[in-house]
Amino acid sequence: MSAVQLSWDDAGQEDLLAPAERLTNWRAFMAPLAAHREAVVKDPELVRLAADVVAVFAEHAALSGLTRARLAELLGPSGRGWPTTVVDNRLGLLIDMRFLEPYVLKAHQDRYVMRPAGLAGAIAAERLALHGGVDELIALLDRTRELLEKGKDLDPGTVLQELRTCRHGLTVFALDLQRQVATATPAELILAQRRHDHTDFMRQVKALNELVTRHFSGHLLLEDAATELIEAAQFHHQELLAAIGKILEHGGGSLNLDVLTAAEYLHTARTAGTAQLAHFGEHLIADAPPPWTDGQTVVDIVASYAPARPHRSRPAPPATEPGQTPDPFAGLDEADGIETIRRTVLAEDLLDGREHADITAALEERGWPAAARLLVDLIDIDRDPDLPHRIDIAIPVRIDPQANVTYLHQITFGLDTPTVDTDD
Amino acid sequence: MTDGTDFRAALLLAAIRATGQVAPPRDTTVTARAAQAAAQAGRTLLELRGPAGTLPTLRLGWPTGSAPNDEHLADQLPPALPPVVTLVWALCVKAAWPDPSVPLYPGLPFSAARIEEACSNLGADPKRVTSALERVLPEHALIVRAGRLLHLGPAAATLPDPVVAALRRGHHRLPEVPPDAPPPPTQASDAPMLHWTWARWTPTRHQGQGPTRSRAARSQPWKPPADHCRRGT
Repeated sequence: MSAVQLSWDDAGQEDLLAPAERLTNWRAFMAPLAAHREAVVKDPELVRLAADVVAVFAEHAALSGLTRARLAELLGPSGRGWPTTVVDNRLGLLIDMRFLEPYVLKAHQDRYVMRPAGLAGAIAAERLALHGGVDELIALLDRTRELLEKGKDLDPGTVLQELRTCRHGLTVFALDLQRQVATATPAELILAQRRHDHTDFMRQVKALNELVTRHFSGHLLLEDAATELIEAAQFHHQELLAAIGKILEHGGGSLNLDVLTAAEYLHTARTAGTAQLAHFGEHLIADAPPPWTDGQTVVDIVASYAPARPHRSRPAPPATEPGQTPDPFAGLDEADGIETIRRTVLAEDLLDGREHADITAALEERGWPAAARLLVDLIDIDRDPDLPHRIDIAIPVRIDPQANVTYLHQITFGLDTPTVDTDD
Repeated sequence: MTDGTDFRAALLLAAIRATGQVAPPRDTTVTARAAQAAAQAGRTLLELRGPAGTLPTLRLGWPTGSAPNDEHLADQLPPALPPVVTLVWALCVKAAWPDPSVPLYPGLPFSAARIEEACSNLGADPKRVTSALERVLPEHALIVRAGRLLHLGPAAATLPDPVVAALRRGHHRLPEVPPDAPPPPTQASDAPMLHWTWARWTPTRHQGQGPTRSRAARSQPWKPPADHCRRGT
């Protein structure tokens, strides 16, 4: 066969015809055999189960076939993923219609094998789902060519019948194309054209014609049949060209992007000239876009602007008279002098004319924290070499929870009179 | 519809596309036909009413949910406004739209001095701010000047709904615009009182008639609809 045989497992879902068209093809295919109009399933997916049954038998069948339970297990949720009820229903039907038949024709026999005719039906259904039956015509032409190539003891009647069958098939497909050219949309025509694009009927018919001329030269009936076959192939080719012409005429004018495949558009975009590419924009209208405004971006840009903080200037220097430069340490000396005067006055107030005084009671009267501040001042006076005072803090501690100062040493403050060494 | 009407409607749409906005023709059947054609092309024709005494303006908008967004355009986004201009326009929005629960358009009038002061507080270059207020934003119809005051422009009326929704969500993040100094009591403002209204031309309703708002309603100041997210007609 010249056509490439595809299986459902290899073909992507996009390679198949649309579900409705698949069902229509299968109904037409079954029409010669059907007893009533509901003979074909309504869900096209169920047809795939037959292909799975074929695969299961090819991979798991033992010498004596498979039991129904084993089949249900291999096809069910743990196997090929079909629901249990669907598997039960379909297996029952396949057994009733002898797609599956008992290994031994006995009652209560539960082991089954596939009937080869069922396999042929599954393969044919697969081809119908892919190319709508064109492959059958290709196979028919190939079979006729093989018959003629045998070359010995050819029966003219058989060859004539095969040639007429080929012509009938070609004519049917050509008439179907003719109808679609007249009535179908560009998108439907594209699908039909792609269904036929792997065919090469003219080459096959030409080869058949040469074989007929070689083996039956002078046989008028056969030569006429071969000529009619060529005419049928030309008719089919003519309709195929008409379909392509209508696609280009209508699809190109309406800018229908389904006209070509994505790869074809990409190729055209990369290789076509400016004039060809301009054709696609012939009816396009474009206006200058306004500046792009995105609400969130506007808010983010504004939020990125931090409020400007008020500028803090350095304070102005003190005003000085011309010619006088302020001494930065003069203020410090002045403050130091004031502090010395304050301490001297404090010491004189505490001593009140005495040389030494116990100031524990004075601290007690002032309470906390004034007592602490006074004590710190007295310690500073003690450390000041310019002041002649000292402070003595006794070691024993007086602790009285009810007093103003609960934790207090006895503190004596007085003039630091130098001691006279009497021994000298 | 005659061929003449179709031709004039096509010219009207072309003029709107070329200049951004045009005054509506006297023959409302032409406007209705243009609105119908715009709808077929995925756009909406809006009639914007400006200050009293001026002619209304026609401008193209986007039907709800049909505006282009950055996901669709990917790296084909048109150029955006510079940051300083964006800042100035955002402050204009804040000044004209103090309450985000009401529709963005038409908004309140505001003075350029308020915007300049707010931009100064944010450290923006004063020259660029002045340029944005006087040239860039009016050129893009994002603001318009009427007398001493500024208003949001017709382009703000045609902003896609997602943009307005994002501005509404981020309204609290926009800096405050300082209020105007109170005018002296003896000096009356010479700025005209503006009443902006707008209406959407819906082709199914316009067969030789005006926009969906009645003439009596159009003569009144515009009031926001109860549903603030709906760009009512």
